[in-house]
Amino acid sequence: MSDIQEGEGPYRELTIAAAVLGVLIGALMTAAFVYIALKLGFTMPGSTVAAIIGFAILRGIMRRESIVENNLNQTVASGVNNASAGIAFTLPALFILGINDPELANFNPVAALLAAIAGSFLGIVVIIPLRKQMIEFDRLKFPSGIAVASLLRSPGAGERQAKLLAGGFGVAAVLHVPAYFGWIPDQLPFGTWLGGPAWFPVTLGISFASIGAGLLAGRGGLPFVFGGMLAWWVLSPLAINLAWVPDMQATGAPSMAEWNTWAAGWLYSEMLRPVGIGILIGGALSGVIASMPALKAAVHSLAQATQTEGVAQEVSAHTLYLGVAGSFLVLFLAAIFAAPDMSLPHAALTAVVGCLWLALAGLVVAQAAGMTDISPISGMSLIGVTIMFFLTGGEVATSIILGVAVSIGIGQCADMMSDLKSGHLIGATPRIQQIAQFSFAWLGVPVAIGVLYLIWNGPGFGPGNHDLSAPQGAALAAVMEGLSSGDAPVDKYVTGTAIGLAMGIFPLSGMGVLVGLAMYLPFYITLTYGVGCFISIALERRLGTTFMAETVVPVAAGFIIGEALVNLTLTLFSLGAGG
Amino acid sequence: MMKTVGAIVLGLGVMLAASAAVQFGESDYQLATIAGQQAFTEAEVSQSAAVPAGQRLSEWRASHLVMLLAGLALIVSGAVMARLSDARQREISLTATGGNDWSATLEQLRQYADRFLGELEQAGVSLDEVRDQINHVRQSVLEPLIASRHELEIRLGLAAYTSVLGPLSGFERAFNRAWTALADHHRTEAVASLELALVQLTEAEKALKDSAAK
Repeated sequence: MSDIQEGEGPYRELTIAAAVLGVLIGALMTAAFVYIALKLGFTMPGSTVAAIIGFAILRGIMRRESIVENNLNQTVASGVNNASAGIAFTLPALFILGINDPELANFNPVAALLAAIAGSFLGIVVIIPLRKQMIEFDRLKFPSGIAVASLLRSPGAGERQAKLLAGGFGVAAVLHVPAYFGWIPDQLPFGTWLGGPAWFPVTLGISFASIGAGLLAGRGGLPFVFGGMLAWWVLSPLAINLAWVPDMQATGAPSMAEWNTWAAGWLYSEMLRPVGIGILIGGALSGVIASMPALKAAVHSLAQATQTEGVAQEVSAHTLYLGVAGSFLVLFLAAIFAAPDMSLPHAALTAVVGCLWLALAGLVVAQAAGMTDISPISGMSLIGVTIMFFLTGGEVATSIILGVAVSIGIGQCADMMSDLKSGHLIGATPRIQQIAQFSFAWLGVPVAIGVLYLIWNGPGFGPGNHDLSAPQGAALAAVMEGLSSGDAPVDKYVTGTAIGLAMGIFPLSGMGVLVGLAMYLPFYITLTYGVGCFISIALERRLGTTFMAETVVPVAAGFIIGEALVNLTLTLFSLGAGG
Repeated sequence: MMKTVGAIVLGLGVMLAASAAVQFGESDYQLATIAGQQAFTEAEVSQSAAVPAGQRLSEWRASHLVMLLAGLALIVSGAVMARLSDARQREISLTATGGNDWSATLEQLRQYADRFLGELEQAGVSLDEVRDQINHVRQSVLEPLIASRHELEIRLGLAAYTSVLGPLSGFERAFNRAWTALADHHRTEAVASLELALVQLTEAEKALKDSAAK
């Protein structure tokens, strides 16, 4: 008999402590991440940070010994926090555009609030059947989900695994600190060091989180790496050598090196990225078609499960249908509030398309996050706003407000799916996780919008503000101005979508999404991730699957968790020190 | 072999089609030149230089549509070759006797789960020991079985695959929960989880038997 005292009473899962603490952690993270996003233009991986903080408080300080309760606490916290990125990346555009257009400045905040809440709910609804399809049928990796599960399981996983997790954490932390402060370069541009041009990059990032994600993805991540190679080692040299980009003389560049850098930037932002977004969309569309039988089976099994199981493991199919209807209604109301002149059928059409796009984009980001740990939220939000812009007949305020819903919803899909993956690995009940998400995730919306208004009425933000330039919001504002003047890369989106659709015929799930994602991202991220994939394949071939499960998984989890925590700590430290 | 050739053809197709997609129409080239000049010489350029999206699209269609279509044709050809290769592999696997014997492995999992339940009902058992055994079974039996899931999909088709994998995943989750409960020294929950795991396993076995009978 074990001499440790056995637990008594019901096993703790969704408890008041887990929920209250989760909401508090989530609200604090939301406030901090909105500020960070306005300052730096990015946020942190919410799920991982929420898990670390919750684990430290619940397990470390409060001595609560239930791994599943920890998972629920983290699910609530990351759900609440999810509103931070969705709002801080989109809504500031409206404030910024309102500086020169008083009509835009007087947008209806209730519409923004409703749209954001609708997005939050719809994101959760979308993942109900997707959970079954992606986690149980497709078995996507969700590297951050595995990392969080490794952390939560560490008290029972034995000393060796705990040491490996700590070792991975330490290595990532030790290397990330000097890179963060610029004491060592955060990228290793081998190509430039060897005299290669900027448009043929051979650059690795100092990011053990990327390597960790690649280690966990293994062979499954290869199409992503090959997509990046195709973009930067084939298409980019072709574009330069076949003069698809104006030469040095035509642009008046003072030196070849400067022209090379400019050409690489132009290639990325104007050629590869828009086509990549198109391929992502096409890949997702073909994925929807190919997955239809599995999705149907997932919905069917939800209905079946409700009828047969004593203790329901899944939320019912009715919840799914009610959730979709409710979210549509709230989005419809948001459209009416945002544009009072819009006719009711027009508002209904806008809400239907918004819901459909959110579902598709949610599938894209969930699939991308499941395969690579990277979610193309900003790209999908951008397309969402563009669709809304055309659908509302050029109504800037309405398109941004409905874009907020899309942005929050798709973020919810990626983040929550990762939590559900962790839950699967430790045995949490999906129904309880989803109930927790439904009950609390929307609370982040008023917190994020409140913080945004608070900062706007205090120090302010936007391109003219030296301290809080709101880079993502400013970029979206520039896109809206571009859309208003008819300058949208529609051709590249459309052709990319056709390519992604055609790739869907190949019998490898998610190939279009992976190749599109690789073209959409800077290559150093893809290549660093690729190093992880290749190491993983070599190790598995040489040392077997048991070694991978017992050694590589905890080390990789340590890499991801270490970088996330150190990044958050250093960012808050820098902001606190006025950096 | 045929799948590899298909993948190569698809890769060539993606290259060709993406080359067409990223290429500028004449007006885009013009815009790029202007952007370059702005970047290097800070030249003032009027907004009228922007060409409407519709016009750009038609210019692009005229110059690169054939290239895109050729690329798409290659992508589709490569993908179809790979699909044919998969279909052939399916035929071979239907007649072959090798591969993972799913019903035997499911039975093996049932025996393990029954044994752990029996052990947990004994007063003197070490919970940590049972937890480690569950972990061992998970790594040595359950994970390899799930890793071979594509065999099942090829052999039985997608509908049967989902009908087996759904409850099997439920078994896996409940089995994981038993491990977690034991790590937290919560015997009652571990027992309940193993009982739930057995219910899910029965469903998976039934689905497998039904699919094989069809």
